[in-house]
Amino acid sequence: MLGFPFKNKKIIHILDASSGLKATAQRADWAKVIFSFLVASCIVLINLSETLRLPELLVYDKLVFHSYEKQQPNHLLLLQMSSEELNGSSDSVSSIINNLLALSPQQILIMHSLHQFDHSELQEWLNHTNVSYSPLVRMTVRDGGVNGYEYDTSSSLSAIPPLGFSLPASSSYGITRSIPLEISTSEETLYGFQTKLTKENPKHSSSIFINFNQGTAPIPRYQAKRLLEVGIINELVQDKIVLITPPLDNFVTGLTTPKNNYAEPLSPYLVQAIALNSLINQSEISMLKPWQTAIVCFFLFVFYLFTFQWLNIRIGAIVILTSGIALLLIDWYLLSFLYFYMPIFSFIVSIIAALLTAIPLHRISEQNVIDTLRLDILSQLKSKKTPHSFYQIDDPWNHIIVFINQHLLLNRSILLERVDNDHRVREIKSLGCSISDIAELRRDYTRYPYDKSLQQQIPFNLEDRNYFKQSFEGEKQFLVPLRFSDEVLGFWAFTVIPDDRWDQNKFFSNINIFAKQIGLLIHNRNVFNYADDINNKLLTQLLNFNLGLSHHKSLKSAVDGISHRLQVMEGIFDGMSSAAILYDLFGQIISSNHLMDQLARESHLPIYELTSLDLISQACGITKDEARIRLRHVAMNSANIDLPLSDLIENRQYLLRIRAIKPQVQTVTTINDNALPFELLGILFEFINVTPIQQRFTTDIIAYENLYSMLRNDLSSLSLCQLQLSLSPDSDQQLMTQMNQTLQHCTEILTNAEKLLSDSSSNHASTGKLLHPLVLLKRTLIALKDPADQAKLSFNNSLPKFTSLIFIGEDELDHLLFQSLRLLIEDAVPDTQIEIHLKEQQREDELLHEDSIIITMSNTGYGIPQKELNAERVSTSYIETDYLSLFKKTVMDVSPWQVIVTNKSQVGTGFEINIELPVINFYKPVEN
Amino acid sequence: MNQPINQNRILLVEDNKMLSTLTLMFLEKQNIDVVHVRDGNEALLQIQKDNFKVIITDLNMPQTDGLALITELRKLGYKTPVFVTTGVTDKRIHEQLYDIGVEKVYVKPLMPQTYNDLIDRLKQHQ
Repeated sequence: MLGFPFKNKKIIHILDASSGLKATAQRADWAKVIFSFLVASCIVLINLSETLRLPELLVYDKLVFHSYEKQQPNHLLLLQMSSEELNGSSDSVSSIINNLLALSPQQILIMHSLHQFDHSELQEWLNHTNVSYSPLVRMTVRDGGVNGYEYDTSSSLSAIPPLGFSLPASSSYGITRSIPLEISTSEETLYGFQTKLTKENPKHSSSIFINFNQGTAPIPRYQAKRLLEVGIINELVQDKIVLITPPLDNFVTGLTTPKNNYAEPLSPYLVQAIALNSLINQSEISMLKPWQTAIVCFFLFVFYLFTFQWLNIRIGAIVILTSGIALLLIDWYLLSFLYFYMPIFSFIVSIIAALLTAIPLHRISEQNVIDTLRLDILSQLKSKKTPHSFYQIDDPWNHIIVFINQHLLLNRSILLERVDNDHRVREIKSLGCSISDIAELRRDYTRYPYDKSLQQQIPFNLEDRNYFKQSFEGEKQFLVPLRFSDEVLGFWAFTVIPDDRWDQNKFFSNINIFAKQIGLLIHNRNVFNYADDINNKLLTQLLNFNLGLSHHKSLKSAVDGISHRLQVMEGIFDGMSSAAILYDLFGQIISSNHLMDQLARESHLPIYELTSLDLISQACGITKDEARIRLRHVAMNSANIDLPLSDLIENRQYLLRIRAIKPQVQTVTTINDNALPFELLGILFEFINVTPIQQRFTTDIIAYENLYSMLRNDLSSLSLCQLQLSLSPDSDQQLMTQMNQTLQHCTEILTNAEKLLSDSSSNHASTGKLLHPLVLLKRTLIALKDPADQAKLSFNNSLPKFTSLIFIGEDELDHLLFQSLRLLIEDAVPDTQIEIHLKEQQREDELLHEDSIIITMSNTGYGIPQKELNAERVSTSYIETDYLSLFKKTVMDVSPWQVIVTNKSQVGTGFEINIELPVINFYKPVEN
Repeated sequence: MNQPINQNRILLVEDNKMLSTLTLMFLEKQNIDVVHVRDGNEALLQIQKDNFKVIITDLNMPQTDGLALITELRKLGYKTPVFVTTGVTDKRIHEQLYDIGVEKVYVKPLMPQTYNDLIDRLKQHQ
């Protein structure tokens, strides 16, 4: 049982990729097993040496005293004859014997000392078959101990041997509980008369425990004197064993027994009689032998030791108490009815020992769990763990070593790992070589070159001797240890052939980074392998006292679960593109993300002081009653609702989405998919920034409004024509001409609009769309307000309310406006203004002339020489070239739409950028 | 300072050539003396030269738009009744116009009965 292939103490932990929960596996711990074995051995030895005999007998005595008085069949008659009667007349003795013999007793046994009788008469009596005597054996005591036995006999009676002896009852600590059936001296073996009368030693024992409970009707006693005077009832003598004894009420020589709770000593003759009756009835008390008790106690200890793994100390104490009471009751029953005594005290001691052994082992396990948690947290802090699935693929190291070699341009590479509980290393994976190519054959990491590499902070250069058998020209050989935490997990040997660009410091730095990552991978692989091998071995867990670590495991699982859930929640929350806040059902905040914090700051909405109800009411500008109706709808129906927000932050539009968060696994089966309100995990409020979407729509809407505006003008014209015609049907030719032109006008607008809108709706990257430049410019100004504020700049705008439409790629114009303003901001002198003007160029003839919208932006800045600004290749030390490059790129990007961008710059003055956007002419046929 | 030529004259500010031509024809047939300009800048210059009984203006125009024109007029102290004919349907802009004293906003396209209503209102001011 103890020969399991345990390894040294090793606590390992894994990350279960599927559940995210970590499981703890633990190798069998020799220390725990040895400790348990020692305690078990002590229990066995204690029982073999009968160290617990005294308390055990005291428990036995109490049980005997309280045991059930089951009536025993009686086979005896105690005939008491005093010395006076014996010495008074030999006739009376003869008369008694004869009277008894007349009633056909099974046996008459004289228990008196023989010297009290007339030997000739005694000889005569003993000639009767059924009459015998039993000399009393006494112990001879010397130096406080029994050193022999002696008994009274007469040489004249030697021809008639006694029917056994009255052997002295055994006392332990002054209490008589048993009687020997035979005594061996150096010369002979003395058998008790009980043995002789029952023909054999039924259980081959040298002694028996006397069953003092003979029932409510004790062994009949009769006075010899009364026998002579009035005779005796036949049934008292017939087929009975008549013991002729001295009077039984001589307490001076009485024996203390458990029968009456030590209160009243019993006559030694009565004890002999009870022992005889017990033997005849086979109701003597049986007990386990010490070795038998030791075995039972051992198994009890083992059983309870494993049982206590599941229990805490308090429950363990209750188990002990319950077990003790149960054992006591069982023992009482066994003793009362089956005449068997179970060593209950030894059993309970074994059970208590099991608990006391389990407690420190539990403590060790708890400490291990804490250590595991600590290491786990450390590990997580250092790096994310590699997913479980990584190690489940056939050969993950193949990918790794190829990856390493490709990135570090290594010539040869071999990963070695430390053999567990050994000083050697073995190959994990190699590329361009194998372990047989290593000239160093000891593979002993405690020796050169491994020990040297451990002392180095940088890869150990193996130039002084060849580590690999073959060496290529110009090849450098290195060895670097692979560590996790402070534990050496293996080594990485590699070679490189440096070229002219080889930078040793950078190379070493990269090697150290990779070595650290490989060390982590090996650590996680070990964790995975150990856990995979051991985690499910019941016996190993049993011997590790981990079976009962339910509370530890649950604690650890809970911590892991909480940690995982928090990470997931925080990850989700912070990863959300919208501001989110989670409330419980009672309207209190559970969690919020950083965007929510930011929104709370910017909107000056005291979100953290508001309940969910207040938040809906204030953010949406509705009454609390209306908010309550909506919130109730969400909670009761597990519904999602979207509410438009009143102006929370200037220039931004938000949509408040309220969602009921349901548990993923329904604990209660519901009729429909809706979770009951109290099953909801919470109510999530998402503030979705719909500004970009709205801006897109607004751009389109404004563009279409402009288009409609033109049509409205033409329709108004037609309406006017109609009115004038109705007023004077004979209107002049001019009116008819106007009417025709208007109709033609409308047709052209609709035809061109159809064509332009058709182009706008295609998904081609270079597709333009009808846009209102003013909207895009305002959007850009809002987007760059923060950078401008940070640069201590302000915008001075001169923008009309309305402009005509343009046809251009929206993204391209957006980028152009953004990068132009960005360039001006970067170049501007702090505490100055950036001027932005938009004007529509005056139209001379709206039907023929190509109108345009001109956006002018300028700053007061440092500027660059115009020559450098005009240069094709951006190369200037005046400004971050990135901004200039991006600006120039966006200028190129808008060129397909006939956008003309002119820019001026002068050192000490700043920049001026003019963007001329062609206005769409709906009256001119659109070019394909 | 120039003296006003005709105190019943009205100013039409409209950038759409076709519509302005037809409107001029219509108003003249209704015996209304009208001066036409094409945008807000021209209108401001004309108002400073002449005293108009009523101003009819579009909103969406190049250079100075109708809203800017009316705002500027009020700023300059002119209390001339203003009628706006516009394709803009945004109620907020309409409210803004009424706030600065526009008498009536007509949303294009104007139907014949709307023109009749406009004529009635113009005549009330003459």
